[in-house]
Amino acid sequence: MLSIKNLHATADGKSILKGINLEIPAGEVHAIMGPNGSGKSTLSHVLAGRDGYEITEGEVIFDGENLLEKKPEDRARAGVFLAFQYPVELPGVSNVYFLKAALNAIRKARGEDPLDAMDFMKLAREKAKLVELDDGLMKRAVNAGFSGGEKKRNEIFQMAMLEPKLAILDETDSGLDIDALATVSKGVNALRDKARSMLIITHYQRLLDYIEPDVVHVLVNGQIARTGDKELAKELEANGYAEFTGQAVS
Amino acid sequence: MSAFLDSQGLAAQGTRESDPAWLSALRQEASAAVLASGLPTGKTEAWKYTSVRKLSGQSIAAAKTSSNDAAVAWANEILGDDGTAKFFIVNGHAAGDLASTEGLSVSSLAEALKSAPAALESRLGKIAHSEFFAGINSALFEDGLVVRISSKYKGKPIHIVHVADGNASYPRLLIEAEANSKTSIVETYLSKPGQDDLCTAVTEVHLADGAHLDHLRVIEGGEPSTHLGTLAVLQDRDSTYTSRSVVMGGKLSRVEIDARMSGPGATCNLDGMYHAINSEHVAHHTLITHADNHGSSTEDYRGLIDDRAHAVFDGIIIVDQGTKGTSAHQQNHNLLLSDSATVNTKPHLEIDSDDLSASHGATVGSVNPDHLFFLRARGIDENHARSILTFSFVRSILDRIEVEAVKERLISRLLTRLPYGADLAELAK
Repeated sequence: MLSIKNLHATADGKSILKGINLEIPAGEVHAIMGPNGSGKSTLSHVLAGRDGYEITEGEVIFDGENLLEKKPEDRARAGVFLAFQYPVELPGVSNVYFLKAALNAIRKARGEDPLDAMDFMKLAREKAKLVELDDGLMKRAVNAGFSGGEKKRNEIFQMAMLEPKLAILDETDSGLDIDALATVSKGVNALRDKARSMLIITHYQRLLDYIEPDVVHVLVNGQIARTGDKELAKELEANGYAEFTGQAVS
Repeated sequence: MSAFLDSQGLAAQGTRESDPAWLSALRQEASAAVLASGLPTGKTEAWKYTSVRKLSGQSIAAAKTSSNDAAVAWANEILGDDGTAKFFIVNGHAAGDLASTEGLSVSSLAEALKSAPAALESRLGKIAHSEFFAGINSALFEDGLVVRISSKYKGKPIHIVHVADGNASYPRLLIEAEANSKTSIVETYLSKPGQDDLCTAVTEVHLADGAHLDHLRVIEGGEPSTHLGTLAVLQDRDSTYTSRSVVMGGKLSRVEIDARMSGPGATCNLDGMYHAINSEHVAHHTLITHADNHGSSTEDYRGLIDDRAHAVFDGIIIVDQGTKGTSAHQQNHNLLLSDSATVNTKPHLEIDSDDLSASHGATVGSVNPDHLFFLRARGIDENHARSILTFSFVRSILDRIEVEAVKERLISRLLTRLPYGADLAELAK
């Protein structure tokens, strides 16, 4: 599904990703853990196509195609979904309009007919239940005045609506209390599928108690320092990243 | 410049036999002031960014209307049935039906000056100043409308439609919102397409104690048209005035607002939305004076500036010495849609009181790259994403318009002017 080979990226002339190699087969959930500044968020941004990064070496193949030469919207249409660490607020743009425009753009790329307003609302109500997002929030402007937890639930709701092949969750757990974390994780788990891969980026192990990964990678200084199973995450929780960074970093 | 004004016969036109003495005096004073000052230049602070040099090549003789009926029919076609009671001013002259119903009287200004001039003396020319173009209007206006609303009026929103159908016009409007009245008034300035017209308009508004007036003014000029308008407002005790300015179209559109809260407990809200394309120039100059205690004012102007267009916002709030309990908040936000677009914004507070809550702020920027990336990362193409963010930047102002059908027409007009606006019809609902 996703194959990252020797990926190097810089931002403002500063080298951040320094040769990442990663294979995520269809249906697997991989977690990337790492200390602050290790390049976790850069990796998610580079995969989704955000401006401001220069790829200096390496390649990313998604579903047999070169992902890095596609525009962000074309990556989304090909099935890449990024759940944002900091979802943006868009006053004046209703969730319903935004998501219908997104879904129909993706459906068009898949060769499917656009959904009309009624079918869209039916689908939206069904998917909103996954993350306990109420109708009121759906009709409001995107994330405007939402709590931190509501914003993250809205991200997972969008993921449920757009049905990506690859979901990248960028620190989806950050800022969530334990109840919101459980709700968001429940939504994510409901979306696990043998045709869908997930890349879960997190600083903390606790998210992985809720969403059990198949593989855990440790990202340090722009490179994968170690790969293991979910026990590796527990080890990190107990010992911190000091072993990898040579200093005490929690 | 004054040679130009003189050559147009400003001084001679400034007296009319039929005028009552107080009006003759007002006109003479105004022409003398304008002849002395000449047209404003870049040296005049309030005109620093707006050039009227090109006007000196233009005739300022008032246009004569070929057919009021045709002009009214043309305007009706554009505006449609919007649920308002419409009254027309064509080239500065009252046209079509007037009204005298329960709580509402709409009469021709020229007629009112003949039949009952004393009723106008205390307000006409007393609310608006007489500098530059407001002064030219005072010297040259021939007609217009007088609108009086009392608390008994329960009818439709009132819509004053100005049609410019010639080279120059001097519409004059006096609105008297009597004590405890509550009304919505829309003023729409239309100009026939292709017409190189100059509309020099003055609207004077008086709100008596406890009056509520929601006043939308729409400037929708044709491509080569010029609008130089003055809106002057005088608010008595506990009155609430809301001005909404919408400017879309016209080579040069300048809106000057002077609102004075002369009684305690008054509220004044000034909103504005402008969209300037091609080489259009849009300027808003606002002045709010807190002359009494417990006054509350807000200003929220938002603009979209594309191509080589130029927008100006110059807002002043004055809080008079010793006034208590004032709240004054002013904002101006501009979205630049092209590298060649220009904005000059100058929010400004002059405070001579220490018992108040006040703030002001302005922004000028382009589409937020984080917002753009978010939409694109969900599969929405870049052009569509940009148009969503552009429209949503100003929609809060349009959404507040009270008359539903007028709001819908203005939103759809904005969408036809925006790139990829057609994709936004559903968003606008």
